[in-house]
Amino acid sequence: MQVGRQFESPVARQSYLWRVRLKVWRRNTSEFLAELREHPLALLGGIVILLYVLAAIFAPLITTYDPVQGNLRHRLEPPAWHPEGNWEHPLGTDAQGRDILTRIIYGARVSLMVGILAVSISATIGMFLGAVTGYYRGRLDDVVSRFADLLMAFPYLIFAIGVMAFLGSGFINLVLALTFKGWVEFFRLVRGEMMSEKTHEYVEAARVAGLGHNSVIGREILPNIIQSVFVLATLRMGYMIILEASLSFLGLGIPPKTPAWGSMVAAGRDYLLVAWWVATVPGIAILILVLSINVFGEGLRDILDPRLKVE
Amino acid sequence: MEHNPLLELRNLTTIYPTKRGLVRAVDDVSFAMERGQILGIVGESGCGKSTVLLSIMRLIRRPGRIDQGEIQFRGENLRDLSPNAIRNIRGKEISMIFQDPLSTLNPAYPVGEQIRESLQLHRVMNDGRLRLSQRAREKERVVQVMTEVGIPSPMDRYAAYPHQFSGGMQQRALIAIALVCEPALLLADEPTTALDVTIQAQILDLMRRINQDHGTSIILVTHDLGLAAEFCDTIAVMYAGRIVEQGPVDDVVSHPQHPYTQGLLNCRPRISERDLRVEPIPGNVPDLADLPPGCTFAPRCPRRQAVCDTGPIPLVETSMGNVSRCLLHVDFQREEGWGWGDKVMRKA
Repeated sequence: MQVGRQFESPVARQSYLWRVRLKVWRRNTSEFLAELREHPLALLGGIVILLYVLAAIFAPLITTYDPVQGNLRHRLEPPAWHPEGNWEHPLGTDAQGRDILTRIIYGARVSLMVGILAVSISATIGMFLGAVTGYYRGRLDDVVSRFADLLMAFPYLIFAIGVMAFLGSGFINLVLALTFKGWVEFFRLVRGEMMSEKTHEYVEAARVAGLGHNSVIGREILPNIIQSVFVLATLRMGYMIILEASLSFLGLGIPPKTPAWGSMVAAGRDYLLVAWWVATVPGIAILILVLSINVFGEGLRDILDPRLKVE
Repeated sequence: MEHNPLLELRNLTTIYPTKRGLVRAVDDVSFAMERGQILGIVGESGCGKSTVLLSIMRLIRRPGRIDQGEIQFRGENLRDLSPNAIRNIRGKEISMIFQDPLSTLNPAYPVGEQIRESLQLHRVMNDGRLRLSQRAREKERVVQVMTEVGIPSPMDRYAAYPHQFSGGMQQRALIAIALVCEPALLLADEPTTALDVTIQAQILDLMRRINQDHGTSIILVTHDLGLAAEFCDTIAVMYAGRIVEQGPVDDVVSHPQHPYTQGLLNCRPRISERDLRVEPIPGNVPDLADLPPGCTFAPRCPRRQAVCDTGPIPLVETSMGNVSRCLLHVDFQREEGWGWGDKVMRKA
């Protein structure tokens, strides 16, 4: 029986296949965007996140001020909408005459980098451990689960403060401190999902088709769990950013010279009565980003589950 | 050359240790089947019919295990194979289809890709030709199989997800997965139970066509004796882990020898005889961890005798050409004075 298209050469067939693949990818992307349009809040959140990311990447192109070196003649200038403000410094300046907008934009680099790194490392570790223990159970599961329970007993912030005090401040240490406990959430999620997915018949069917255990975990079960991991990752991202800001606020995060939102709030604390914007504006920057991430994450949860899709 | 049947089970025993004791889910099951044959395994739920299939595939979940016996497939004992070797048999030489097609298909992948996965895994299309075109050739084969099992417009259906298929189409897709590597033996675990009657007939029809066109042997596990009677060449009736009656389909259905088979036939509703009451078998399937000492069916048996409670009951050849695990076929009267136990052991 002859089925399917005929091609003159394997190359022609391959180029046809690539065109089809591209078409599928385009269709999937536009489908995703179309669905995103039905969740206007999530779309808005996504746009705001994108703005933050773009601003962080292209920081030197957006602002000409130096984020570290201030101009003492322009100390504590109010933001533009203030009667005494001007558009030279749209969000005002701080006690050392540095432009607050500039510092927020550069601070976004730290927050986003810490958030992305901490979450992706946590998610990778948690997913790996959760998948292996949830599928195989046994002694390893007991050990890792008890260790995870142990970590759960500590409040996150206190734990991170302890780790930072032990490791000392710095970018890498900050990411480490956040991942030390961050993987537990992902571990518990993936382990639980793995234990429930494992009982589904498609797992047995895959074994019947001749797949080994590791292929069953990676190729059959994980694709069914991955969307929950994505959703948790976005939601945790907001939390990680807040934690980073809290640590920086306490002076345990990023070393003082690098602009970070938390330390900006801390520095502005002393001027709250005379120049409220120094502490408030970075706080609002944190608020908007975290809120956007959470709203986006919840929209993602509604969109990503393939089982909820009905045509 | 010595003649080997396609598949032969010899005294297969599969056990599950439980808190209340050892459960023999499959107890001393033996049968042989030839190429192109259709065997039906019939019994109530929990009688071990699915466990037989999983034992053949060597997929018994721990702590359960195959305790005794041989599984001869094409002359080699599957129990002796290494994990890698048995994986090469699964899906390629022996495939299996399940009861609930939706939960058996992976929701995360398009149906076509799931059918292709077997080809890819067993490198069926890997003939040393250009690597680039291998995927395309695999896809062509998938579309061919999808056409064969009767999925309409397979080119468009290739990229559809399982939940976009109807129940009958899902079962067809599942059969396509099982058939794509052209296995010699297809294990069907209640393949039509989740489907409505018209679709059931279509699926059975499809399976019969596959059996005729490719000479694929089929083991059909079902609780429906009527369905098995229509579809199979030979039938094995299982009760509490043991085969209680076995033989060619006509003999088993028209002259059932074991009271359990007779009971199964009586509790089947028939359209032609409306007034005839359906007669259920009284009582329940015994607890597998705590079986009666003699005949496992004795507590529910309408023709129970005192001897039924002593010793293990052998499979006895009856006058009808089937074998039956029942003492009714043993002529006790003539050998009065013998201990029943002795008699039984000798026959075994």
